[in-house]
Amino acid sequence: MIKRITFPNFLLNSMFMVYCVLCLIPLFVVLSVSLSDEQSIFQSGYKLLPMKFSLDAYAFILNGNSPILRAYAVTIIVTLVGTVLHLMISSLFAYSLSRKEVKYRNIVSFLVVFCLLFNGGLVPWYILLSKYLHLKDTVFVLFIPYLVSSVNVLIMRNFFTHTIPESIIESARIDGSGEFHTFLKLVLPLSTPVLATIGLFTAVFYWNDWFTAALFIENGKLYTLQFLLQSIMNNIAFLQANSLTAKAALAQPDETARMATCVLSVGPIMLAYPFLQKYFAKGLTLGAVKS
Amino acid sequence: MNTSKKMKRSLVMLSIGISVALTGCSTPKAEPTASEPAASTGAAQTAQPTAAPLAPVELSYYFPSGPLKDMQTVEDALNKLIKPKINATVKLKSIDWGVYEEKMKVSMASGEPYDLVWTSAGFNNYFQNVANGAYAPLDELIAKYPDLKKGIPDMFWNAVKVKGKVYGVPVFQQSTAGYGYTIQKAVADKYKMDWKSVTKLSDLTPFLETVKKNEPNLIPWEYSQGADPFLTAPPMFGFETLGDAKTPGDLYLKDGGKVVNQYETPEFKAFITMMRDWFNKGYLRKDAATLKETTADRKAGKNALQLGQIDIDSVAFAAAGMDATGRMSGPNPATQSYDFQFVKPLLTTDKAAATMTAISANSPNKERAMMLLNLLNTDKEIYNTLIWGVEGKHYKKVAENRIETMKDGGYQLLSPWEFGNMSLTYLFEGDPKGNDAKYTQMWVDLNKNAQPSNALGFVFDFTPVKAEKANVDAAIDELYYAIASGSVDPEKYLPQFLDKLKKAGSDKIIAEKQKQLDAWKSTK
Repeated sequence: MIKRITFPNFLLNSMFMVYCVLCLIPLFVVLSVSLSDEQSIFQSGYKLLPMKFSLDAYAFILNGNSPILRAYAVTIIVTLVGTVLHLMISSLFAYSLSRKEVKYRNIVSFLVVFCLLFNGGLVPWYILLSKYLHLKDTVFVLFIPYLVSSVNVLIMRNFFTHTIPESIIESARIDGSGEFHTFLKLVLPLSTPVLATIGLFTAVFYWNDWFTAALFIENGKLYTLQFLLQSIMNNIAFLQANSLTAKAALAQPDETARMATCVLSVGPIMLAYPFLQKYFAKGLTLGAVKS
Repeated sequence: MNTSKKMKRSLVMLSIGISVALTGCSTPKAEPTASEPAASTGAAQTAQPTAAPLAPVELSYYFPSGPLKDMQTVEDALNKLIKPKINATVKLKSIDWGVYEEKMKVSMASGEPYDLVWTSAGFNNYFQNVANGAYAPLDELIAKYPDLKKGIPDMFWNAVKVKGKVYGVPVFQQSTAGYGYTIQKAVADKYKMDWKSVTKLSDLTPFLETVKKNEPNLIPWEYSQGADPFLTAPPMFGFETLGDAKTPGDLYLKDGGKVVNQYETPEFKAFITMMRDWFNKGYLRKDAATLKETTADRKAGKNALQLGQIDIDSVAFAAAGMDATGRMSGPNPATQSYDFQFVKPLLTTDKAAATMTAISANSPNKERAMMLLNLLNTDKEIYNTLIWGVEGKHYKKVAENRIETMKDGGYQLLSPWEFGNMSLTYLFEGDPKGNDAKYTQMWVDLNKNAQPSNALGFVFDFTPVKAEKANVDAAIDELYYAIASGSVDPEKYLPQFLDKLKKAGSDKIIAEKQKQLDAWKSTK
C-alpha cells in the first residue's frame, strides 16, 4: 500500500512533531543545566546548551558524603525482588478470587475492597511493622509491606474473570491439569498484558518510593536511591537557609545538583519504559472491554 | 519436558520468595534477645573492680542530618572514647532533615523506646512535645553535673523551662539575634560609603541611590518573602514577637507588658512608606512581592545591600584583630562584604530553645543518657569527634584549635550546633580567621551579656485561637508582602489589610496573647 502525503495528514504529523519537541525540551534543559557550571546559571539563567560545561554537580552527588552507588544497588534489588514477588502473590490471590469454585470468595473480596477504602493510618502501620514484625531498619521493610495492593488485586481479578474463558480452564481440567498447573501454564501466559501493566506500576512504585525508607531506615547502608537523592536536596535547602551552618563546607552546587539528581533518578526506569510499553498500551483497555 | 522444567523453575522462584519473606521476619527478631543480656553479664564482670559497676548499655541518639557515608567510622571512634568513661555505647541515628519532624512524630506516637533526641522551638517542637509528655524532666539529673550546668548561662535554662521544669539541655551556641545590614565590600569601597554610620534602616537610602545610579547590574536592596525586614528583624523596629512573627500581637521592647497589633503601629506605617519609596525608585526587584528566596541572586553576587542577622559585625572583628570581611552570599567567596550591626543582640525564647537535646520519657537508660550528654557538653575530644570525625580521615589539624575539613572524607556534619556545647568546637574554614583564641570567647561573651527579652521563657499556645490564626495567616499571605515590599500604595491597601485582619480575628488573638502573657507573668 502506498501512502500518499495528504495535507491533513501532513498537518497532523507536523502538529505531533511540534508537540513531541515541546515535550522533549524540558528534558534537554534539565540535562543541560545538570552539565553546566553553577555560576553561569546564576549569571545568565537556564540555557538549552550549557554555557560553561562542568561535571561539578555529578561529582558532588556521586563522590560527596553520600553512599549513592550503594543506594542504587539497594533500589535495583528492591525493585526487582519487590516487583516479582508482588506479581506472584497478587496474581495468585486475584486468580483464586476470580474462580467461582472458591468458597467465601465474596467475603474475601469484600475484605479487599474494604482495605481499599479504609486503612489503619500511619502510626498503627508504623507500630505493626516496627514493633510486631521487627522489620524496621532491614531491607525487607522496603518491599514486604507492598506485596499485595488491593487495587492491583481487583484489576487482576477483573482481568481473569473477563478475559480468561471459563471453558479453557474446564478443558485443562478435563485433560488432567491440576489447579496450580492450569494457573501457571494457561492463565499466566494468557495474562501478559495485565502482568506487564501491573508489573510496570509496581516497578515504578518501588523505584520511586522514598517514604518507606524515610520512616523505617536509619542505617545509611540501606538508603534507597530516591530517599538519598531527596535528602541530599533537602539538606542543601535546609542548611543554606540556616545562618549558623558550617558555611565553607556548604560551597556546593545547588541548582545544577538538583537537575543532576533528576537525571540520575529517572534514568534507569525511563530506559525500561519503552520495552514494556507495547504491553502497556493494550494492557488495561483489554481488561476493560467485555466480550 | 519443557513444561515441567518451567514449572520447576517457577516453583523454585516461589520458594525463594517465601523464604526471603520468612527470613525478613525472623532475623531482626533474634537480634535483641541474643545480644543484649549476654553482653551485659560479660562486661559487668570485667567492670567489677570499679566502685559502682555500670551495666553496659546502648544509647540511641536521634538527630537530623544529611546522608553521611562514613558514619560507622565516627560511631566506632566515638564509642572507643565513651565506653571507658561511662560503659555505654551510642548508636547515632541520623535522620534526613526533610522527614525528621514527621519521623519523630510517628516514632513518639508509637511509643518506641529511644534515649536522646534533638529538638528545638521551631522544629520537632520542644514545647509541644513536652506538653505531650514525650520528654523526661531533667532537673535532678542535671543537678548532678555542675560542669554541664555552669557551661550554659542561667538565662538559657530559664527560657526552656516548662511549668518550672527543664526537659531539655540547650545547645550553647550563638543564640542572640543582633540585626543590621550587609553591604558588598567592592561597592562600599568604590563609592567611599560611610557604612558604619547607619543607625536605622532609612539611613540606607543614600547608599541605595548611589548604587541605583552607578551600578545598573546590581540590585540595590535585596527583598524576598523570606527576608522581609519587619518580620525577620522585629527588634529593628522596636518590637519582639510572641508566638511567631507573622500573627498580630507583638511587644514593644521598651514596654514588655502590653500586647499590640504591630501592623497598626506608627513604626509599621513608617516602614511601609519607606519601602514604597524604595520600590518606586527601583531599589528592589520588580517581582519582590512574590519572591520567596534569593539564593540565586546571592550566589551570583547581584545584591548590593541586604538585611542580615549579624551577631558580631565587621567593626567588632576588626577591633579584635580578625578578618573583618564577611561573605555576602554564604558559600560564594567572591562577594566579600562589610557587615554592620545597628540593633543590639536580644535573647528570646525561640533563640534560647533553638537547638536542644532531650531525653525520651520512654528511655530505659535516662541516667546514662544524661552521662553522655554531660560528656558532649564538657569533653572536648568526644565533642569534636562527633562533630568533625576522625583526624586524618575526615579533617586535618592546621593549628592548635583550628582544622580543615576534608571534602571527600565522607563525614561532614554541617550542623555542629545540634550537639553539646559549641564552645568546645574546633574552628574550621568557615570561621573568621586571625585570632582563634578570641573568636570563641567573643560569641560566648555575647550570649552571656545579651539582653534577655521581656518575655524570655514565655511560649504562646495557639490552640485556643487555632481557627483565627489560620484565617489571619491567609489574610497576611494575601496582602502583606505586596504592602511590605512597597509594590502597592500603602495609603490604599493598609486600611484594607487591617480591616481584613480584624475580620479574620486578629483582636481575639491579641487578647489571647495578652491573657496568656499576664498569666505567665503572675507565676514568675
